[in-house]
Amino acid sequence: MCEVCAIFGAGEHWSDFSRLRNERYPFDDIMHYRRERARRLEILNSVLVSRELRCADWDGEALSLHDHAGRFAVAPTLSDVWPLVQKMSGTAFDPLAEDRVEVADG
Amino acid sequence: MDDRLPVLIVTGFLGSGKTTLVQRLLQRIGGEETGVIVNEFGEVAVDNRLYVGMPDDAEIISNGLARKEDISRAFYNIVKRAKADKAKMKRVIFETSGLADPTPVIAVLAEDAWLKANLRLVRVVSAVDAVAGIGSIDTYSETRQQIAVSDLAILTKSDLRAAVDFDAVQLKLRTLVPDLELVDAQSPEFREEELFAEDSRTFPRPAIQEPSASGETSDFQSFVLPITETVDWPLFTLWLSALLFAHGDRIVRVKGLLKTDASRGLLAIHGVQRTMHPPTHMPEKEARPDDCHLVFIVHSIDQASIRSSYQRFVERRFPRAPTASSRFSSIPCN
Repeated sequence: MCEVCAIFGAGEHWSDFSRLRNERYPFDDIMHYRRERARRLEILNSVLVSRELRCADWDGEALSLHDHAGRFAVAPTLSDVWPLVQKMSGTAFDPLAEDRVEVADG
Repeated sequence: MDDRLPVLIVTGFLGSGKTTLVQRLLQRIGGEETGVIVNEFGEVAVDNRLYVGMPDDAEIISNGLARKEDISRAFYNIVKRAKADKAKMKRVIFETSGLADPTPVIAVLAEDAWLKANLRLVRVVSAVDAVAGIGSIDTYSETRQQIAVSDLAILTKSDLRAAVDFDAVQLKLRTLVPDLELVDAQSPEFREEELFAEDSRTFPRPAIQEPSASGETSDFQSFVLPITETVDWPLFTLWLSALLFAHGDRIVRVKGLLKTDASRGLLAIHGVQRTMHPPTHMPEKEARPDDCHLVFIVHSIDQASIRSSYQRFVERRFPRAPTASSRFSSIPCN
C-alpha cells in the first residue's frame, strides 16, 4: 500500500505479481499495476462486448461488471470475473471454444 | 522479509517411504522446531506406532481422505502453537495419506486468508519407491495424481537390492511430468534443509523433454507449450484465469517459465487445478529466455485445443495500443 495516498494499488491475486515488488517504495509498482489493469480491462471489454457486458475498475483493485439491464456486480479478483460473467450472461466464457473469441473479435 | 512459516507437503503412495522420509527430515533438521501434520489412512493407525521419535504434539488427521475442514483445522492448530511458542517453530511438514490427492491441502493454503498470512507453501515432494514405484505409477491413478502435482520427486529405498536404476525411474516420471526433477534420498548430495529453501533453483532445473507417446498413461496427458515470445502479462493472465475457470477440474497442473513485459527476469508460474500460486521471480542473470515454456498436465482435454486457444488468444488478438515510448521509437530517424 502507498502510505501517502492510502491506495493499495497492487492486489494479492496471482496475476498481480508480475514484478518483484519494492515494498518500501511502492510508487513505481503502483503505476505499473495501474497500467496492467487498464490493459486488462481493455481486453476484457473487447471479449465481453458480444455478451453486452462492460467491465470497469472498482476502487483500484477490484473489477466491476455491468450489463445492459443495469445489473451490477463486483469481482474482488480476476478469478472472480469469470463466474460473474457466466452468471450475468448465462454462459461460461470458454477460451477453448473458437466461436466466442471470433465473435468478440469482430 | 517474509516471516511466514515454510510448509513442505510430503506425498507418495502407500508404502512409498513417506514416513521414513519425514522421520529422517525431523532428525536432520530439528524435530522440535518443526510442526508436523500427518494424514494417516483409514482405521488402521499403523503410522502412529511407526512414528518413533516423532514429536508428541503432531497433528493427526485420521480420516485417510481428509476434507478441507480437517486440513485447515490442523493448520490452524499448528499456527496457533507456533504463535504461542514464539520463534521456536521454524517450519511445517504435512504428510498426506498414501491414497490422498494433495490438491486440497494446496488449495487450503492458497484460499484461507489467515493461513496465507502465516504459512507459505514451499513445495510438494513425492516419495517414489525405487522398488515398487514404477509399478505403482502404472497401476494407481492416485500415484499419478500425486506425482502430477509435485514439484520434486524423491527416490526412496534405492539401497535395496531389488531397486531399479535411478534413470529408469526418472524416465518414467518424465512421461507424467516432463520437467520433474528426481533426487535420490540415499545420495550424499541430498540435503534435507534444501527442501525448505525458498526457491526451486536449489535443485538443478532439468532439461525439458517432450514425453514420448508410448510412455503416456491413459488418464493423464502432459505436454510442453514453448513460449518464445515476450508475454503480454495482462493478456496472458486473462487467458489463463478464464481457462482455469472453464476447465480447471481437468487441468491437473500448469507451470512454466515466462519472459514478460513487466520485468527483466523470468517469471515462474505454477498452479494446481484452479489454485494458482503467486509467481516467483528469477533474477535476470539466471534467466535464459530459451527456457521459456508452459507445462500442462491434463486429463480428457485435447492438447491441440489448448495450443490453438493460446495461439488465438495470446498471439493474434488484441494488438497493444502503441504506448508513448513505442510511438517515439517508430518515428523514422532520417
